[in-house]
Amino acid sequence: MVLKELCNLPGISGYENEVRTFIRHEIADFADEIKIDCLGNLMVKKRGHNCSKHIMYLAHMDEVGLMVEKIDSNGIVKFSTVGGILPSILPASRVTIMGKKTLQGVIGILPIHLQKNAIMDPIKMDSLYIDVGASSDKDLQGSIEMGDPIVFNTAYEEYGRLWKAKAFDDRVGCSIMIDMLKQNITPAYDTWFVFATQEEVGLRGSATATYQIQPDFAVVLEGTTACDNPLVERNRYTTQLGKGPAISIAHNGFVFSKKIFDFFKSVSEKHQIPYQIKEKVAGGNDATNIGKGEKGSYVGSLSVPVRYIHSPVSLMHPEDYQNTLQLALAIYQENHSFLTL
Amino acid sequence: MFDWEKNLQQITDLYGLSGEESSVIQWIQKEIAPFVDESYVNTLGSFVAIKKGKGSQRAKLMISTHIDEIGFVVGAILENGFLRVEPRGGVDPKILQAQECFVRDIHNEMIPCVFSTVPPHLVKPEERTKVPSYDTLILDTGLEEKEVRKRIHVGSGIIFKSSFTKLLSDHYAGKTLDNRSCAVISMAVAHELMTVLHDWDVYFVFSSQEEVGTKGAGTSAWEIEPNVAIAMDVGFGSQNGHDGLPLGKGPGIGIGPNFTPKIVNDLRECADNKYIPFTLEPCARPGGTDAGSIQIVRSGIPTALLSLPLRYMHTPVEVLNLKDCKYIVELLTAYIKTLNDEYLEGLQWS
Repeated sequence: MVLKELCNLPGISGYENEVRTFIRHEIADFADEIKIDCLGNLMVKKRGHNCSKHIMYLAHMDEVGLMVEKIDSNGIVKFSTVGGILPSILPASRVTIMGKKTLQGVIGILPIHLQKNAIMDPIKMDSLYIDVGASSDKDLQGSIEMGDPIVFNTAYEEYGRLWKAKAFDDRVGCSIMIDMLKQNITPAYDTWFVFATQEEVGLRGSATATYQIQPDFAVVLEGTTACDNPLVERNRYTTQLGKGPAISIAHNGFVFSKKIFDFFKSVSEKHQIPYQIKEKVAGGNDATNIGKGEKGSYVGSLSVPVRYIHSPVSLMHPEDYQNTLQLALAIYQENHSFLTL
Repeated sequence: MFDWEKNLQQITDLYGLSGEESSVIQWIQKEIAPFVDESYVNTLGSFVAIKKGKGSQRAKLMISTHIDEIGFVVGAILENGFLRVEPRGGVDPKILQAQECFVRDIHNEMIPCVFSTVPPHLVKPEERTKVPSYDTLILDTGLEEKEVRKRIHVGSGIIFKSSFTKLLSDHYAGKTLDNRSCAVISMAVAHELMTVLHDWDVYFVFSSQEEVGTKGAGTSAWEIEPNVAIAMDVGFGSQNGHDGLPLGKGPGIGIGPNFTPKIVNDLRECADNKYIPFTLEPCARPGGTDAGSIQIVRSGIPTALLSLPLRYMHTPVEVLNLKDCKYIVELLTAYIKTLNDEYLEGLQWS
């Protein structure tokens, strides 16, 4: 499993190069065909027993992060967010700026002693900045510039019985697809594994991948929100760690076919793989593009529950990884009879 | 050579909440031993290391730097092993979401943990406009509840998890640079004094419990009865939104009712003679640092304050400039050289 290596790599939306190069190297020996399209999607084909249908598995390579917006004359780095990040999680965090040089920085905040009346004001995004220790903008010439990507400075680590890293959303999906490819199974139908770009900025990569592959059936593999802690009301948990892959009924962009929902359930029951149903319609994913793309297609979403998603530090359960991989592998090897009905 | 990076790295990694400074003391004791003549730990848990002078009057200079750090203690163990916390010292709850910490278990092992966040997908509009409080923040260790209950109890200490990191132009970031960086400066001064002739005995006090009301410095001064005391602590550095002490331009020298004018003037003069840059730091009201407690011990102690400019104070990403640390060593060494028998008489009010 290469989840640890994947999460430690930098790759905000549009800047997935290092992730793509790593994955391409990992799966090279197991691919019948490899394509990289205009948007940077890495598309890996596995030839099936039957080429009359096209199946697609998709996970996105990009992670949420920041981008250099402006360097002030005093050497302070202003940034914009890439993907959905709340300002409240940023003060006093550590980041890495991926410029011509790689620079470490911290996100500053006024000391609590000096905040006076502002002490009860929520953090505003435009008040935040990065300090890399530069005394002026001249110190930074030739090292970083506007547009450089910025990632959270978080290293993969084991946390009790859980795993901790940045970017489980969605390197966990990428890692599962790599593990599926490494099994070297010949599927029933021709199958494309798509490592997609730019999900976090509006589901961009999956749109062009869907156009090219025109799948009859697709599965999106994703890290999803788990808000299972005692300070949150039960109806906002959405998913829970350790209870298996989450199967979606609907998300903010798409209502899944009951046929696919039942199919996923029956496969997990047949193989006695635990699963949970995603309880809340929250967030969206690439399934929207796939389901409504071109002539439309059957699509389902299997999600690994991840706590504190879209923050520098997220947690997931190793058993959820294994069970999601097992369910994805079982689906991969199923006879997709619903396609021929 | 004095290894600044190694010392700062090691001392800032240590656990030492206010009132629980013993790991820091053990480390300083080992590192400073070759530079000093004797040392001891006093009742309130401050560490005192003494470098004897050559003078006949046995006059005493006390240099006080606190070694405790801000953090939290476990307030309650909740279902599934989540931890509710109580702050120890002044921590801004606005910096805590997604912040990594260590909780110390009953075997003194450090367990990594993180403050919970609600992701943007699920956050309610009213939560976006509210500052988090300790009622809306809990820690997640990733351990099962029964494991948590075995290893952690109410009162277990929690510190930030943040490693000492080099930034550009002599700047460094890390946790508890407030005030372990000044403790390392004291060690460097002790190291320097090995090759310097000085009359007065120098008492390096590594004080406890500053962050909960400058407790250790006061009791240490009572016991030592120094003729002069200099507190050394971090001061608010210049940063976006605050025009404070500029970083890399030398220490702040405190000026105001808390500080004895003669010592302030002598420190300024030493700095000028040695071309050491500094910034005057007006403090209109006494308090806040160890100097506040020391000045009013017994019948009063002549006191001054040196400030190391620091950005983002009381966060896990405090930033200092190493040049300032070295300037303070130079300044204190020069000042210590001026301390002789006549200096005592000069301290009397006219």
